[in-house]
Amino acid sequence: MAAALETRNLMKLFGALAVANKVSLTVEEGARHALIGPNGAGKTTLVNLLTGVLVPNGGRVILNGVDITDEPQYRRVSLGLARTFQVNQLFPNMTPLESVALSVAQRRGATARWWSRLAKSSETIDEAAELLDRLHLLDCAHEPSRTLPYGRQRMLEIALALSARPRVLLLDEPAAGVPEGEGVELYDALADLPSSVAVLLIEHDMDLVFRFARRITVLVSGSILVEGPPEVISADPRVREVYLGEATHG
Amino acid sequence: MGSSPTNAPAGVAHRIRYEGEAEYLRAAASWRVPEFVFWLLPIAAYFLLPRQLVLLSRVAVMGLFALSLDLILGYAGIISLGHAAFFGLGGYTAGLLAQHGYGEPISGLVISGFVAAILGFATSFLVMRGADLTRLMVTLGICLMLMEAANKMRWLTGGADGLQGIAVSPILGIWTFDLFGRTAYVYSMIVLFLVFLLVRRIIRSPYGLALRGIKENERRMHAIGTPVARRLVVAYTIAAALAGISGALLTETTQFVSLDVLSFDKSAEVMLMVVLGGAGTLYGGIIGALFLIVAQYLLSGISPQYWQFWVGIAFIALVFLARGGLVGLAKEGVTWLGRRGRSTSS
Repeated sequence: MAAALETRNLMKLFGALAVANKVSLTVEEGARHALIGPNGAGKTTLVNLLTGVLVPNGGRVILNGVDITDEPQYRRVSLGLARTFQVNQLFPNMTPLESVALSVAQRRGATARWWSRLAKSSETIDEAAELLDRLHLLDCAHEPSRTLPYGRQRMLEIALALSARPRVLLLDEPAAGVPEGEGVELYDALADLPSSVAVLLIEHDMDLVFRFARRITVLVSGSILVEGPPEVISADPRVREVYLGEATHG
Repeated sequence: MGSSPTNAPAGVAHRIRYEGEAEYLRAAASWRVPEFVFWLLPIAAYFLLPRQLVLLSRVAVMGLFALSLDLILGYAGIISLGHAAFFGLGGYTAGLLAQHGYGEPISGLVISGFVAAILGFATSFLVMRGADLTRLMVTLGICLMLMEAANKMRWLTGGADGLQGIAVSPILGIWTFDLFGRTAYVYSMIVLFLVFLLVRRIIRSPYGLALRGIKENERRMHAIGTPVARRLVVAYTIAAALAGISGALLTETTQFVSLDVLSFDKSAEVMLMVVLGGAGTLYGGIIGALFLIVAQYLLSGISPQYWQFWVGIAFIALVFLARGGLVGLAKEGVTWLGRRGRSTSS
């Protein structure tokens, strides 16, 4: 299978500290790939390097065969790389319908048009409504996003990323803050993601990781420690050592 | 016709299922009764307050200026303390055109708006760099520089004495600007209304939604693929053009322009109007202008020295009691009355 997203010897230094140390990661087309590692392993830094928030000190980022290392954030999205955030990044005073319609309009290249009318862009609105329906958000489509329960806001976060119709989706700790027992909808939504989309999941919740991922990369101190299918990772003594507490319950 | 949604083609089924959502947004964007009433008021004022037309023309001019600031402040979230730069540039452009024999008012507005837009576009790249505080200083700095330049170029602008000898031709060659300000009033109100229609259309477009998105969460806008800086440059340029038109309107209706239009006071006054009326509410700027100018007129009659004191108190009270300004206060009032109406009827 071809690589959807690839990094080659990616380097990022904060002063003398290498927070990404020659990271070469390959996410295959349609993959269900998880990136795990203890706090401070450099997971968030890696997401920021992939999405263009940070500029690497060395190495390349390749998306569907296109070198995107020097592309700004917004260009990477139109080239097929979308993300969710660890801490919700929503439009607090906009409704879910408006928020997703905005994202759909952006993908269709309509947000530069100040003479056209949103209320008459029925294809955009239909697509937004359909996506909200799929993520069980249609019944709260007209309430301000800030008033939604946290679990719903988490789903909206995913809806916003999906409306970009990405080829590669980065999920930055989607289960973060979702109370125990309320994760079912989220797990279902993740299981329902289109198989054509390659997913890179960054997560602390080992339940979710082992349920979802078919391939796992373990990042420690900015370098890849080991990579393989879940059964190999869970049996690896080095991973057990790093994850002493969590390995026993996972 | 008799087909159930299950065997209809997928696209058709969606059209039927989600028609309600599109309808909801259409309804939210349509004209409401209070809006019609609002725009009937200037017509009523023409007949009922014939002696106040000069004052009300000033309201129209400042309302237009405030509307232009609201587009960047209330919708795009760009804080500017130097918006008078464009107001003043438009005012001087119209004045210089008329002084040099080109007194045709309508094209005068268009040219002035265009000149202001060029300055807006050129300086937008400076303004886009940095966050709120930087923007505050940059916009303020540009306006101060322009004011000093106008002050120094006495040969062109008349310096502190203002621009003399402005002769504006009749509108469309028919309506001359009369001593009672009737023509000026009708002209200002029509220009205000047309620009209002344009801004209303802009904020209800996908582009307008993107501006709101940038104000609410810029990080997310990058992540959905919006070239944020490019959108803001366009907004800033449009706002500059509209501010230029309002400045030109002031010059044409008063047949005079002085350094005052470029002053820091002007920038502060227009921001006060927007915040007072309610930023990001479309009508806030116009209502703020009306409130401030009328209050100034009435209070200065009572105590010529201390009217600003009372405006200050009103302003502080308003930001504490209603953060959405006068428009926000009115909306809360309507909701409250609605709730009361329901509870008494049940």
